[in-house]
Amino acid sequence: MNDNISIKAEGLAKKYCKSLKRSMFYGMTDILKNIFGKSSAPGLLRKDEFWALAELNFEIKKGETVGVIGGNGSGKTTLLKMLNGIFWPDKGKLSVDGKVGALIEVGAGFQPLLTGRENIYINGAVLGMSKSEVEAKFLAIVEFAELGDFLEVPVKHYSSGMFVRLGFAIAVHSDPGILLVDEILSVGDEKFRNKCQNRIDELRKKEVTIIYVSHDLMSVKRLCSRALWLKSGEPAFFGAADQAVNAYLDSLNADYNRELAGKNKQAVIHRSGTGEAVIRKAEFSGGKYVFKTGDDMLVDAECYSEKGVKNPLFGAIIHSSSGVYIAGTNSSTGEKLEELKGKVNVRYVFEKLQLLPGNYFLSLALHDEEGRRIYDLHEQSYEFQIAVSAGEKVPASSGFMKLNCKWEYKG
Amino acid sequence: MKRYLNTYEPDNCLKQGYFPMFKQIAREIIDSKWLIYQLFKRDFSAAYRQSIFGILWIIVIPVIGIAGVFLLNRSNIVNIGETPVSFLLYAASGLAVWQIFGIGLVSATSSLAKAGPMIVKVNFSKKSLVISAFSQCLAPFLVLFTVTLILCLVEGVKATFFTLLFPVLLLPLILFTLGLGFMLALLNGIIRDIASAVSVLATFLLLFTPILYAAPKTGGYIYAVRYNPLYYLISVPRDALITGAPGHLYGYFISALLSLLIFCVCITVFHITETRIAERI
Repeated sequence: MNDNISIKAEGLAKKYCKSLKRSMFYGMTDILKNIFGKSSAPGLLRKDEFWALAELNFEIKKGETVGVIGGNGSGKTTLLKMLNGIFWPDKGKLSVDGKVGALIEVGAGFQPLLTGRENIYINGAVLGMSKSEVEAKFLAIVEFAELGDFLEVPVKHYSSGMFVRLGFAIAVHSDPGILLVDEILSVGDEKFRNKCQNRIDELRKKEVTIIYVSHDLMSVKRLCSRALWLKSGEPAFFGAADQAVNAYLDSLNADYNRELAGKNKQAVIHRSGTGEAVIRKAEFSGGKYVFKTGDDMLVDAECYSEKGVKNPLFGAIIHSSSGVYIAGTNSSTGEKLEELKGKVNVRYVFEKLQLLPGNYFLSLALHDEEGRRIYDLHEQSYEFQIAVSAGEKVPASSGFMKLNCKWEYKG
Repeated sequence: MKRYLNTYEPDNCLKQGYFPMFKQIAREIIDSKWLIYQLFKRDFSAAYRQSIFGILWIIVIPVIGIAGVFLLNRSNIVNIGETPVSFLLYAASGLAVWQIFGIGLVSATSSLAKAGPMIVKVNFSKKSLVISAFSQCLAPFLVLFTVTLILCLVEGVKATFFTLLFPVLLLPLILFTLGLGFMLALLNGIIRDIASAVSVLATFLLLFTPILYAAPKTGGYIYAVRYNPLYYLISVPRDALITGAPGHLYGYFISALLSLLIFCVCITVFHITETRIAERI
């Protein structure tokens, strides 16, 4: 393997077995075959086996920070475990050049009855540090973990934050050449997260290769030069982090859209009203149910009145998924329809939607000019979603609405 | 600077050949000395940390065992037979050596399954886990060995050349136990019944092997003793200690060779298959 390559995967694949009993049986037969010097034919699938990871080919350069993204069960953790040498491939070849340190559920192997001091030595040894290394870094570990008077206290009395801090401190002081990070930054308070982030930045400057697994796509964009998007165990995209995240988000939005389309089709319309005029059907224009903040949202409604109603108004209300009233409007401020008689198609155009990411429900109403007589009301019957926008570095607004505010400074 | 280059492929070990594999095993164990010590210290400290009597418990079980057999013998329920030294010294020394096999095997067998959560999260030497778990037999062995030495002094047992060889004579038993420990730990990682079966088997072997009673000189049972390698591996070091003149050296030699073979085969199997442990455990 080339000297400036840190990790190389060639046709890498890993299989699992769905049945525990069968897995035990396969385990025994594989061991027996290996004992007698025979291959267990790991590249073939047996009954109840499936590929948890398949056909992975990539090279990661030394000092590079690469993100791994994908939904639950996409194979991210399996890949990290293979890079860490915990799981071995069933197909292909994986070459890893460098001492691997893992920030995956830090503190594994801590003995709760023993003190912080004792656990530093034990965990250090488990992570591959020598006695002299642990002794040389002991004070730095204690300082990083902010143990204070708790150094001589059994770790079972530690808060969950202290426990993670200690585990993280030992792991990052083990001088890894390759660091595997799995959602660790989502643990602990803001101060701890900043500290971890700074430490990871220091390691990046020292040219440590970092494999960063996270559902926080913004941090993947910020930290990583490239990213691998895994989908159902297979590589869907490997390239620039920006492109990988955008491709993943587009795919997620398409999934959400499909899901919402199904939900809206099956949704029961909660109706009330006099029935003099009705909304026969309504749907999101173009089958688009997922939007971004600032997008236009179009809803097409087919309205009908047998006898006819004069000056009808078309109303709309948006509720959050938890039922909080967000905003309402009606056609009194726009172009009015003098009479609704027979069939009329109405398009609601919600311009530059200022809603923040989340799921929302739309109610549609048809009522008289004063709003006293409700002809037809479809209450919270249409669900749509505002998706996370990949471009924002820091969420600028909170709550439900984006506030467009300017700041002027004088003096 | 040390280069850590690892290549992971299916059936990796089979491609290497046996000689490089043995070298790799030896290197791994030597490199893991400190880890083995830390794991041993962790389990030993944790076992007695929340206990008032602590390490005293180590001696309670053997003392009850010796007292029980002694009383059964006095009541003519059990026939201990004719022991070469006092029954107390005979039983204490036999039990001291037995701890290496009994405690060592039971601890080693459950070592991987017990450390399951750690094995699936951290990559470290699994052999260290088995060896450190086996080493849990050290404390009970040393306690009973000390009792034996005190009794030897009290009874005026004289040391001979064989007495000085006692630590060396224990080596085959250590290899035998460790070898079986590696294999059983692996199997128990996949099928948890193994640990329970080993506990039962250890109790049976303690009664089956002449440790708390003298070896029979007549009857059909003599054959069961004659073909039990454990009898030679335990009785020869014990007799070296308490009589200075162990018998059955031929049987011991054959058993020692068998132990070496078992150790080599089992550790090789463990090495070849340990990569499968994490995903099955």
